[in-house]
Amino acid sequence: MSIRVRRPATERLDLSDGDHLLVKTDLTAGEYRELMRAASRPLSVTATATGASIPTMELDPIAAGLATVLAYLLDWSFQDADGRKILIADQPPEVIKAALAHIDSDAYMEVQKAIQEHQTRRAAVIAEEKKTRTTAPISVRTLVSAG
Amino acid sequence: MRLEPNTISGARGLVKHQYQTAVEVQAFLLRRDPASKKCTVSGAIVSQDAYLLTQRPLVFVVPSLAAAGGRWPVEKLSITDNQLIAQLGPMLERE
Repeated sequence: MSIRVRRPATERLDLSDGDHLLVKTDLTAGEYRELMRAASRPLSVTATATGASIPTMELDPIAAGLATVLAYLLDWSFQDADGRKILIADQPPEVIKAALAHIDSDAYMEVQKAIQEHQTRRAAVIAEEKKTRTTAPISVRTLVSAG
Repeated sequence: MRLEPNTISGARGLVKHQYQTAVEVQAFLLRRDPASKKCTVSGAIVSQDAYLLTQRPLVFVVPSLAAAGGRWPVEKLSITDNQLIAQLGPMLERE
């Protein structure tokens, strides 16, 4: 049997001007499902050749960027115009979403790019882990003797 | 948020395992025993995650008090009729 739950871990992503983000290293299945839901939009119902109707979804590129940021982002070093830290740690998603809407667009794009690059790096690491995790097939003889 | 000697009440508190939220409560009341420095918190549950409640360690977090620390280790926890009651250790040092 194998371990299928990762310990919650975080990573610090350094940005320009000495700023940084604190992000989740990986998403859980539930967080990933929420990301997919938030990144998609329903399309009108598709009619099939048999006359059946199938509701379909498509990826919304604008929503997908924000959904990815919201899925991973835990904290940051950003300050407001008065030099006070903009509090997002442990805040509800709507508070984090509002904070993201008020930072400069350049800053937002830097955040999104950093998180998307982190996501890509982690996907590569997980793919590599899967390769090394694969064990040699267990022979029938071994199974019988183990029983 | 209301701050009084040995009592904190607030709109929103969280029981967390690492960065994941096991329980969110509203209208919580945290009382501190000056002698032992241990606390008890109670509040109405808004949401809970049954899996995360089985994980340890758990920490009670008051997000609006983050600048002052606002984190206590959960020593014992019970949920009855959508009400959280937890015994907490002394407030953790600010990270």
